[in-house]
Amino acid sequence: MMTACVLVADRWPTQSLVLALPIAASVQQRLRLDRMLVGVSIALLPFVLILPLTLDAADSVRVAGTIAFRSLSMMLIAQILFASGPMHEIVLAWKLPGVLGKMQSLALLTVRCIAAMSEQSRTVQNAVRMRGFRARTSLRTWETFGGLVRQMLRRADARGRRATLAMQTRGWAGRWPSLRVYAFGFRDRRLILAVFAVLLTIVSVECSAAKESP
Amino acid sequence: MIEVDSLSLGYGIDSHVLENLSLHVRPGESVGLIGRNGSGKTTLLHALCGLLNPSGGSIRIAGLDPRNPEDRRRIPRTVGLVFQDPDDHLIADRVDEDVAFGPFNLGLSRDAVRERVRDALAMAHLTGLEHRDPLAMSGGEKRRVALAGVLAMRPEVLLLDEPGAFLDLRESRHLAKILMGLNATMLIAGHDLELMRKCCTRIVLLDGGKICREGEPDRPWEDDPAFGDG
Repeated sequence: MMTACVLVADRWPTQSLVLALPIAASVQQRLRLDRMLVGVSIALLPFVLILPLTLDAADSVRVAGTIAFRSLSMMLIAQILFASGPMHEIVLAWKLPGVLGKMQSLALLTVRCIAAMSEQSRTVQNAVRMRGFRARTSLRTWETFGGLVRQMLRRADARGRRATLAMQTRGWAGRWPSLRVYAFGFRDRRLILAVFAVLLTIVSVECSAAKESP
Repeated sequence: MIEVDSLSLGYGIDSHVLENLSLHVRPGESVGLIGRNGSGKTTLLHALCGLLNPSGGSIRIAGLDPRNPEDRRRIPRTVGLVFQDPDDHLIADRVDEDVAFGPFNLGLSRDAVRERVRDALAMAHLTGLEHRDPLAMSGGEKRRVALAGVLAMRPEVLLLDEPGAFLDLRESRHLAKILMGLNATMLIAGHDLELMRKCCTRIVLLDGGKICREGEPDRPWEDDPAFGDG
């Protein structure tokens, strides 16, 4: 037990920093973290419970702690990068750090495609609900679900084809520029520094762990 | 402006949606295209834009041949098509961004695009709604956004596929007012005779992929069996 405490304490400052920076950045971006933290905690529970049964006490505590710290840090960074605003705006702002126009266009189309698919999904669900369908544990329910997914994909595909034609008639040539002009603000700079510091720390922790392992 | 001669087009080996169809539209003229569902109205509009390849006949639109790959690339600069379902047009999260999509594709500068967007929004009576999400707008507003997106390209020829579909009387009249104010050659496909009578100088009735009748908009088209009363 003593050894375990020493091992965790050995990495404690680095790992705390890894976790503290994105939390600070998330708070600064006014992101809601409660649901995400609960979700990650539940996802990590099996590791924390099972690891002590598979490894010796010292290693298990250290590994469980490391998994928890890293997962939380990664989730927070993902949250900052992909959920701190409307997805469309975030993708448009990718231009600032120099993301290629083609990648940006692809991401914008993917965002639009996901929106179209969820719209089709809602329509199809409403259509069956309005005709008296209730989900039960019967074969018919599963058949209906299968049919719904097929129908949703077909509709999304048809919509996608029509949207592509509409884009072609408006001269689509693979680029999707925007009217919006983005500029780095003070908060953005701080955020990028925080994310960069976290990534750097994670990489250094990984490298030192790789060196220590036999 | 639009010259279609002996046009034939089908989706399968034996099916012919359009058969030996000929249609001529003069510059500045507005022609209404009516007919039952499946009579070939949308197919004709898509063929005019080069989205479908005809199996026979010839098409010239604003001096361009949609079958020629070089001309087909130039078609978006001169021909605008407003699709039947406005949701097919809407790709951006803001009205102004959606309208700007076409002008950006023409390679214009940001300032020139902004000017075109402003003009197109004014023409479509959408000024003040620039930052709204098009997907959250009403059916009539969505249709006007789609129209503005095409108008921003400043096309010489405007093709409209059922522009009056799903619109209430007020929105339909609103749309008619906008179309009447445009200075473009127009081909309007649909069933909304009130809209056609206001906007068109001639109406063409399609049946079985052929033109079966054409004439003044004021004629009693509703009584014609080929229009859907038969």
